[in-house]
Amino acid sequence: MIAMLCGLVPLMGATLLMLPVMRGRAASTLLTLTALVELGLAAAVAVQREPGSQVYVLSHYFVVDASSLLFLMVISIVFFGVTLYIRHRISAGLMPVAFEGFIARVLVFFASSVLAVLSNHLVAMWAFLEIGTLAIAPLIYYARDRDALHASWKYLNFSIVGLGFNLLGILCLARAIGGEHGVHDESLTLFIDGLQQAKTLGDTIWWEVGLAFMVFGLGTKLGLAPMYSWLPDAYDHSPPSVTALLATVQFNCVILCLFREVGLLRSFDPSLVSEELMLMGVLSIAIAALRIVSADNYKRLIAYASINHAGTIALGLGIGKTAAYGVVLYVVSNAFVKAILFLTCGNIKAHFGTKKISALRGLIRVMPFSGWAFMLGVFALLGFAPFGSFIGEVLMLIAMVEGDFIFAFFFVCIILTVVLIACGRALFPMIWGEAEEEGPRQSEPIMSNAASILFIVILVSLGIYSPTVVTSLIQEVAMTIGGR
Amino acid sequence: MTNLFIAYVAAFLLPMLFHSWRVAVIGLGFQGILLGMICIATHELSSSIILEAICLFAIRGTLVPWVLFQRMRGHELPANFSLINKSLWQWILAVLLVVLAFMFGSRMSEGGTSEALQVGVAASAILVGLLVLANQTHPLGQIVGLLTFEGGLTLVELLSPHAMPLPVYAMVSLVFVAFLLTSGQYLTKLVAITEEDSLKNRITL
Repeated sequence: MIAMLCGLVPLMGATLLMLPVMRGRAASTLLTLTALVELGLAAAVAVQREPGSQVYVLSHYFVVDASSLLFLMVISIVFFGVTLYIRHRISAGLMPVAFEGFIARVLVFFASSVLAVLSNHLVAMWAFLEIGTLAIAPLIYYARDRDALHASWKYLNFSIVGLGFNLLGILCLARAIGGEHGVHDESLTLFIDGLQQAKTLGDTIWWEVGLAFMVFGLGTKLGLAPMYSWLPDAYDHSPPSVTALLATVQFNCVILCLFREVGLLRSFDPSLVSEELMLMGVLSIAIAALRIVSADNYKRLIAYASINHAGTIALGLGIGKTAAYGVVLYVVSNAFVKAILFLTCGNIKAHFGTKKISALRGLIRVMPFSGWAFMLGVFALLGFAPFGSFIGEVLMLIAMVEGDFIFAFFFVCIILTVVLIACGRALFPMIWGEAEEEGPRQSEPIMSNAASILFIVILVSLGIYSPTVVTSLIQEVAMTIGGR
Repeated sequence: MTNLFIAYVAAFLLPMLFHSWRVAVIGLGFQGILLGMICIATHELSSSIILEAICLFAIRGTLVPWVLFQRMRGHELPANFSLINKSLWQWILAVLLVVLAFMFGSRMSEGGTSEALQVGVAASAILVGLLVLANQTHPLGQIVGLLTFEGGLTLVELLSPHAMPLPVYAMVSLVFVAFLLTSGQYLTKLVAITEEDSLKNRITL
């Protein structure tokens, strides 16, 4: 029942915001408090759960298993960090005056994300993802400029189409396992645990088509090629906190949905959609690398790097088996990497007033806290040790060699080198370079980087030493996507 | 039942012939009403089917055109508004997509004529919706494309032997209404921007 509170607390917070007293500071305090309670609840769920167990809540509509627990923890930590950041932005006067609506939407978005993570019904999970999309889309144009409005509309269009294809896939799956055309079979279920117990998935052609639609739809939502064009625009024009929520909370919810759907069908055939996922992954990595080379906007560059990461995850998921642990570790690490970078981008933009890479030099001297956070974030983004993303990437590369995916291995190595050189050439002068006219060193409030510091600690611990509980949880999740 | 499917195809194809946004919106309303009728015609009557049909009539048949007409009230639209570009190539593409969709339907449901027809109609609605979406630069046209695409999904849902549990069905309907209202808000904002731009152009000229 504590798990259900995780979804209800943010909703209650959003409802409380309707009270006339919940204005100004009270609203921002409510947001931080909600995130703190959420974090506590997620920790309580983790403590309560026995390793390997699955606890069902509300007539099997929701489940606490390894996957939902891991992703609940990740999104709760990230959400807490983002709320600290929003609080700082509000107190620094960097948010427009009437921000209560913004906070309400953030809370609704987070509630739907938590419920999507906990969901045990395929259509309910889809519906929660849709609600989250509808809640966050208007926040992309919170700055009220035209480009942001167009980016937001593009995001909504792509999301509706992507999620539509996902629903189409789910319906095809229902048709595959279902009985006679036009007759409702009451025993038929789209509950994930019910589907896992099925001996066969019925009509082969229907579920093969269904799985293809599911992967294509969720790929669109993740920003995988060929349906990626919404992502750079949406990430670039959103306020930093919204970009962080899109790139971490929403991304992880969609990844979990993909894990559940692919994992479910792979229990019948382990090699399912491997080639499709690998193709989408390779395409995304290649396109992202090309765009990174020509980027002169640091937020956009990180957005392209996100496409690159989504591609790497798809590639790893396509390989499956020994890569599975690396994929899960990479997904978890990436949530923190992207949160660090996008939140720091907000600090940099607020100080310098520009997103142009060529206009910025000597970041680490002018803004030491943000400069260091940005530098470490970039190192983690590029897959340097000792961060968790490094271990994840290495494990996936080893799995490629072990699984005889030599072409994929060389391709990823070449692209990683290209991305390293392109990012280094663009971002390193921005961090350390000498400026012609360097402004005075800026004193930064600790709150502006509190979230980034928290995320860096987690990232390093994922790379150097992660507790057995975390490792076994990641292992359990890896097993669900066909890991060995 | 075949007549209902033919009528449904007409409801999303015919508005492409008229260069009027009102016809496009009315076409969406007709699609909603036809979906309700198809729901009743393709299933044995039960309380859940009646509820589903009522939702389809009320939301897709009535609410969709009402919201879009309300949002467009007082706004100008180009006189030559067209759902797809007026070129032979686009028309050939549209026809090709419909043919492909019906071929897909018969491939998916070998032996089942009624199911093949339903899959064909649903697939054509999805493909034509995507074609309209790809062709349109005007937000209203894009919404028409998205709703045609969604209509195709609903047809596939009606085909499903899976009876959605009531809470899930309620959530799906709620999501659709939320999507419609959100799109309506975007429509107002985007149309206002378009009009502002065209006014600026006129002043400059």
